[in-house]
Amino acid sequence: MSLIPRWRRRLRALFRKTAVDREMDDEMRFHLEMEAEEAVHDGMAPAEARRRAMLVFGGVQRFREEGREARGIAAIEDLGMDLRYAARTLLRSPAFTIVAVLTLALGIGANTAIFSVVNAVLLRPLPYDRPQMLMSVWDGGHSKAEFTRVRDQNRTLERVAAYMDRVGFSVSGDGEPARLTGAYVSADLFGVLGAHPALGNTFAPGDDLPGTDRAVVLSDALWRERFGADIEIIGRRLDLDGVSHTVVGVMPRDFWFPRRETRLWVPVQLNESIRGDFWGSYGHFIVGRLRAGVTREQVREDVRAIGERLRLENPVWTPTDYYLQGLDVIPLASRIVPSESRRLLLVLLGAVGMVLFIACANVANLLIARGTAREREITVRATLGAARPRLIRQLATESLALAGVGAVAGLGLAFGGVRLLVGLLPPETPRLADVSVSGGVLLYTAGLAVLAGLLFGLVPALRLSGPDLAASLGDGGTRAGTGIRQRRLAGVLVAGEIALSVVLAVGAGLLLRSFARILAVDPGFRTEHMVTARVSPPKARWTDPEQHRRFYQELLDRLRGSPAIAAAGITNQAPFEQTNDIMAMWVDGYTTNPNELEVMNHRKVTPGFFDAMGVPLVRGRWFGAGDRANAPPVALIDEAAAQRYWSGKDPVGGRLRYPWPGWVTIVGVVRTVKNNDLTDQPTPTVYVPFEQAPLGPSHMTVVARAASSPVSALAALRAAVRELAPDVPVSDERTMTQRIGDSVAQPRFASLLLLSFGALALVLGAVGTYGLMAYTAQRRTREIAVRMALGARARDVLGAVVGEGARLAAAGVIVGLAMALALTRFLRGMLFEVSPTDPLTFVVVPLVLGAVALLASYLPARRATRVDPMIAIRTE
Amino acid sequence: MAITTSPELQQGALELLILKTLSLGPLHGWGISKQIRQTSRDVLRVNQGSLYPALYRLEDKGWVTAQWGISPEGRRARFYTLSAAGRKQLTRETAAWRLFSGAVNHVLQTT
Repeated sequence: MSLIPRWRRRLRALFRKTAVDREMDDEMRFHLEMEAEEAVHDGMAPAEARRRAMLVFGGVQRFREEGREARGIAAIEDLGMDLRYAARTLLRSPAFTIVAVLTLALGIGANTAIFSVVNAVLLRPLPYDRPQMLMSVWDGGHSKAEFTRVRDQNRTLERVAAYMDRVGFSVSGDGEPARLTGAYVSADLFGVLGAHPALGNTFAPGDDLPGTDRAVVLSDALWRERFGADIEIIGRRLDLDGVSHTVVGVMPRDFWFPRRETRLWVPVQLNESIRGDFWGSYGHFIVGRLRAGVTREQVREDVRAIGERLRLENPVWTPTDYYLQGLDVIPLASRIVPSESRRLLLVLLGAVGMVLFIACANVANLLIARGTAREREITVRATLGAARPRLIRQLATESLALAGVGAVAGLGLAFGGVRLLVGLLPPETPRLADVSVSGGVLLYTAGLAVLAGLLFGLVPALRLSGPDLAASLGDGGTRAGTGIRQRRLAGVLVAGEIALSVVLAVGAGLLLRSFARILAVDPGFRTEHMVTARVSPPKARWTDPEQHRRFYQELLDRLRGSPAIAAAGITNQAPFEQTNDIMAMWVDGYTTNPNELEVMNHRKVTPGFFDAMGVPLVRGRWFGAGDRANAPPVALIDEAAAQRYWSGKDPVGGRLRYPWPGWVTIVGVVRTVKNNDLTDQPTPTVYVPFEQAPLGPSHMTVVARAASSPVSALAALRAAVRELAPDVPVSDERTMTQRIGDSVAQPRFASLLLLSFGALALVLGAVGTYGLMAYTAQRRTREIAVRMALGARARDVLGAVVGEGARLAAAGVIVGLAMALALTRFLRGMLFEVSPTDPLTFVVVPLVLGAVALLASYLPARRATRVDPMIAIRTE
Repeated sequence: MAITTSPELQQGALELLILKTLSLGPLHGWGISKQIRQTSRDVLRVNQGSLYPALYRLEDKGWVTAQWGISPEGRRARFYTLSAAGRKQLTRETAAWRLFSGAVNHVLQTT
C-alpha cells in the first residue's frame, strides 16, 4: 500500500493528539457500555455490570499506551518526550548548562573555524580539469630551453606548459598608470589546465613564438575593476610595459592560476635566436598533465634523460649535477600550496582537535558529577520499569541535545573566527579568498557535534544506567564510599586534560620562543622611518639608458629637496621586497670552472642608497663621484661574500667578473643585510653603481628615510614621480616595518594561534581540575569532618585532598611531556634557533601547569576543611 | 474450554480472525469480539486489551478503514471496514493458516 496515507494518519495521531485520544476514549466507553448492557440483559445489577466490564477490559492507561504503540507513533513520541525532558533537565540547572554549552561552543567553534581554512586551502580540489593529473614537472625554476625540450621530447606527459609567476606589468594608456601582477605563460597553458574562457579565446598555438601579435588574457577581476565588465573588450588594445597587446579573452570568475592575485596572462616569448634569454632566463615553472597509467617515477626518469641530453646540447648553460639529482615531479597542488602552509594548517588542526578533546573531557566530568547527583532519579525511574536501553537513549538524547546547542553556538563563533583567521593568516597563504563556512564545513561541524556528544555523553550514560543501581537507592549518593568508580573515571579524564594542555602549552612555548628569536634578529640596516616604493618605467617607451639615468637622477634630486624626506636612494631590489635579483659571477682566485660560477644577490645602487638604509662600511671606501659610466668598473661586497670567497684575507682590490669578459674591482666591504627573511642564511651580495650596471634598465625601488611621517614621505615620492614622468606607475608603497612585519606573518600567526589554544586548554584544564577536586572534597566532607572532629589537623586533611590533585597533575604532566616529546618534531620546520626539545620550555611549562593544577585543588580542599564538623555530619 | 487471546502469542491469528469477521461486513470493535466469540461457539474470547491495538495496527497497515457511525442500538460507534488490500491479505493469510493447521494436525495424528 502507499505510505502516504499511513504517515498522514501517524502525523495526525502525533499532532492532533487530543483528538485521537478522545476518539480512543469514546471507542473504549462504547465498548464498556455495550459489555455492561449485555451483562444487565443477562440479569446483573447495573453497577456491578459496569465494574465487571472495567475489570475484564484491563487498565485504561495501558490500553491507551498499547493503542498508541499500535499506531506506530511511540518511537517519535519517545524522541519528542526525551527532547522535552532533556530541555527541562538542562534548564533546571542553568549553571551546568551554560558552562557545558560554552565549553563545547569554544571547542566546536575553534575546530570549525580552523577546518574552514583547511578545507579551502588544502582539501578543495584545484579549479582545473582532473587536477590530480596535473604535475609540477622538474619542480623549480627553468630556462625556456629546458621547458621546450621537456615539452617536445617527453614520452610520459599528455601536454606540457610553462609559466613565470608574479611578473609585474605596467599598464598605461587608458586610466591611471598601474602596476599589475600577472604571469608569463606558454601558449598551451590553458589547454593543459583544461580551462575555458568566459569571453573570447585563450591563446592560439604559436602565440608564444617570435613575430606574432602580442596577446593578453584578462582575469575576471581585472576585467571588472579596470574595464567595468565591458562585453566589447575582445580585440581592444592594452598597453603593457609600453607594448601594445590585444585582449583575446577573459577567464571566468572562479578561475585563477597560479594564485588569486594573478590579474592577467601574457604569452612567454620563446625565441631560440636570443640565446642568452632562451638558455639563461630561469624562473619558468613547468606544468604537465600525466598520460593515463603513468607514474610520477616514470616521469622523473623520462625528464632525467632529457636533462642529460641538455648537458650535451649546451655545455655552458647547463643543468648542474645538483640540479639533475634533485629533479622532482610533484602534484601541482603541492606547488601551489607550499608545504609551509600545509604544515602550519595541519599543526593547527591537530592543536584545535586537542582543545575539543579537553572540552569534551570537561563536559563528561560535569556530567559524571551531576550524574551522581541524579543517581536517585535514575534509580527511581529504573525501579518503576524504565528499560535500560530506554534510559541510555534518554541520557544520550540529553548529551546530543547539549552538543547540538554547543555546535550552534560554536558556529556563531566560527563565523566570526573565520573572518579573524583570514585577517591574521600570512597574506601569501594561497586560496585565502576561498575560505568560508561552506556546506562541507557545516557537515564537519555536525559530525563533530555528534562525535562530541557521544564522546562525553556515552560513558557517563552507561555508568549511570549500570546494573548496581538499586544499591544507590538507599544511600542517595552522599556517603563517602560511593562513586569511587565515577571518581576514578573523572580522575583519568582530568589527567588526560592536563596531559593535552601540556602538549599544547609546550607547542605554544616553542613557537613563542622561536618567534622572539626571529624578532631579535638584526636586519643589518635601519628599519624605522624607512619607506620603499617601486617605480616601473614602461620598457618599450623607455629604451634609452640615458633616459633612465636622467629620470632617476632628477627623481633623487627632487626627493632630497623635499622636506618630507631625510635621505633617499634607488636600487633594483630593496630588502624584504620578496623577490630576488641574482647573478652568476666569476670570483677571481676562487672560481676555477666556467660552468660553476658563483650565484650572488646582485644590487644596482645610486648614490645615497647606503646612507638612506643606514648600512655601514666595514672596510675600503664608498662609491665616489668618479665611479661613472665610463670609469673603471667597481663593486662593493658584503661581509657574507668576503667571508665566503676571501675567508679572512682583505677583499679590497680583489676582482669579480660577470659571465662575460671585463673585471670589476672590489673597493669596499659593507655590512650584510637580511634579504627577504629575518631567518635567512646570509647569501653573498654584490653592489654595483647604477651607472655601471649591466643588462638593460628595468624597474627600480626607491628607498627613502622619512623626515617625520612615512605617509607624507610616500606622498612626496608619488608626487615627484607624477610630475617627472606621468606614465610611470608607482606601486608596492610600504614602510619597511610593514614589510618586515609581513615577512614574519607566518611565525607570528602560528605562535599567536597556538598560544590562544594553549591558554584555552590551560583554562579548561584548570576548570576541570577544580571541578573534580571540588566534587571530591564535597563527597568527602563527612569523612573530613569526622577526622577533624577526632583531632586531625587542618593541614593534614588539606594535604590529603591536595595530594590527590597533585597525583593527578603529576600523572597528566608526565604523560603530556611524553606526548610532547613525540609530537614537537612536527614543529621542527617552524622553529628558528629553538630545538623541538628545548629544555627551558620543557621545564617551565610543566611547572606552570603543575602549579595551576595544585591551586585548582587547593581552593576546594581549603573550603572543605572550614566546614563545621557538626553540620557536615548532620547532612547525612 | 475457552481460550483467551494473549497479545504476544496469537497476534497473527487474532488479525486473521478480525479480517475474516470483517469480510462479512463493517462492524464495531465490540461487535467483532462478540462475533468471534459466537462463531467459535464461545471457545475464542478476544481480550479487549489486544483487540483494539490489533485493530489500530491493521488500520495503520491499511488493511481496514474506520469511520464513526451509529450502531443498531442507536449509539455512536467506530465501524471498521475491510479494505481491498485487507481482502487480499485475508486470502493470503487464510491459505497460509490452512497449510499451517493442516500440517500441525498431520504431525499430531502421526504419533
